[in-house]
Amino acid sequence: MEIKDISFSYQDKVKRLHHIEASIPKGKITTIIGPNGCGKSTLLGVLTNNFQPQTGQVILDGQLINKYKPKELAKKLGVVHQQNSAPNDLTVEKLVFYGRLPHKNSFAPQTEKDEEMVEWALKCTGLYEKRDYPIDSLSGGEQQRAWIAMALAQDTPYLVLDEPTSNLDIYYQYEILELVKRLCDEHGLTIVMVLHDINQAIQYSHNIIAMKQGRIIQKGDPKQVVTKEFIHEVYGVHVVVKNDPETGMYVVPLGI
Amino acid sequence: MYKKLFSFITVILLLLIVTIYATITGSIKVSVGELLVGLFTGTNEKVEIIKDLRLPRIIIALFAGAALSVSGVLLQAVMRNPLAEPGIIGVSSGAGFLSILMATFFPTLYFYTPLFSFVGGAIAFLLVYVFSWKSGLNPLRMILIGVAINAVFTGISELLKSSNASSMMSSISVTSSTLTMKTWGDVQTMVLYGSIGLVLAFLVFAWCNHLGLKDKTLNNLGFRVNRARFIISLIAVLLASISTAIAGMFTFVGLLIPHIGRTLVGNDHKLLIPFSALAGALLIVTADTLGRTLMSPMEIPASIIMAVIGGPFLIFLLRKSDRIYGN
Repeated sequence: MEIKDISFSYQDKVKRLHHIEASIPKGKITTIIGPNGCGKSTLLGVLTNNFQPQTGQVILDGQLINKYKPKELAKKLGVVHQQNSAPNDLTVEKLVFYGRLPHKNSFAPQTEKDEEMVEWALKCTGLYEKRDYPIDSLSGGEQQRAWIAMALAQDTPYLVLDEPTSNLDIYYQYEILELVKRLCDEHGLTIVMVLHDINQAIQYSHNIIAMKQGRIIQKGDPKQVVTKEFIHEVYGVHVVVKNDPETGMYVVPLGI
Repeated sequence: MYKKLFSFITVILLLLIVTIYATITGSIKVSVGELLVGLFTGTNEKVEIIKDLRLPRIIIALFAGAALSVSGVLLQAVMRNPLAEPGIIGVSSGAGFLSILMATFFPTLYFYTPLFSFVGGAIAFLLVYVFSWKSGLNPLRMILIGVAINAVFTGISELLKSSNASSMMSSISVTSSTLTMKTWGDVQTMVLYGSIGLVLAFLVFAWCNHLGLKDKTLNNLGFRVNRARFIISLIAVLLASISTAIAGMFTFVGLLIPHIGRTLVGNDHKLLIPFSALAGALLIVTADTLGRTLMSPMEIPASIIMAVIGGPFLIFLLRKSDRIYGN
């Protein structure tokens, strides 16, 4: 996926993205980091064709993203939004079946392929046993996994996740991140996500895009990108960056 | 699952019983046997009168109830708002307004009343939609604007009526139901358009379910949200305006029945739409029957009976369950 010279503003005309240039490597995990309001989610909105940029283009597999037919794009790109809602009595399985929408007509019956993909998505996210539960009876982490399962059922080579770990306790955070890593390693998915935790970003991504005030500050391999100076520039926080043979690279904030 | 099945069976049985009771009772009474024989042979004078005067209003009550309830279900799905209802957001009064306007100035076009109703309802809905759209539909804003639009249309309609009291359009009301003096011609119109609307509504049940998700989620699933919204809205407006044109104004039924439906059969529109149609028919035919028998020979409009029994029942249901729509 290629991002070329994207500038974007909402109706209020304040520019939220300034000439964004980046490329998302195939089969890798790319993480977008940056302080609140830096344009991370806006950029994801543009990448997923929910926002139309004023200038620039997003090219997905050789074709402009806004030239795809809605269903064709949905077969390429699955998205898990940060905030989701569904009728409270909807079961997990029915929710995941929504992921099959791009592959069929709303009025057509389910095919075997649909059922296979849904079963796979449920097993992948560890929700197979809970498929008949209404989603509002699940814990926060399970709900997040249910939405990921829906995107997986879409059977897309690209998966975009907006802050998949927010509002989860640390166990569920790592559960989601391990799932994302498995999807990339074992199933070859290209992942783009937004994270807030720098250490998680270092640990789980092949590629980092760091943003501030609607601009890209740095991008590349987290091990080369992340330094003391870099963190201070992006977040304004003083840190120490350590390399430990047991834990790998990690960042400890000291203060501001 | 048993609860859902039980709910369906109960409402179907009640509907049959009430409909038969409604047919045989009133100022002229017959037995079920007399009714059946009379209907087929045409020799019983009493049954002939019932056929001419009572049967049309019963059939219209059934269809209007079904149409208004389903219209409520569809509007709630489209606007993701538990308060959306053709009466409250002005669709019905828009329909009534245009009918009265045309009847006032072009009385010869009386035959086209259903069409004017539909156009009026569509205009009202469009106004609500456009005025409440501000990068998304805010439920509260939508209801307030709907109430305002409703007030304006109701007001102008009343003005037209009072300035022109002698005209033939007295049969159209924007404040209460008018089920008396219905002809088989009215029945034809109601049944034809009502059935079309109900069948279409059932066909789009999957779309209504999809709209339970957020717009951006649906976009990313390749679902054309606005197209679905537009089509569902048209069906809802058709159902609401045809009932208003023929049966007058029933506020509340489109709010009450879908809520009862959601607590009994759930949010899946595959069940909710047919259940609401049945329960809505039951409610209005019950209200109408009570209205014409309770204080006979005086008649109480069905809409008033319905409001009186429906209101407390809705409060009871809401107190019992803490779930409102999808939240």
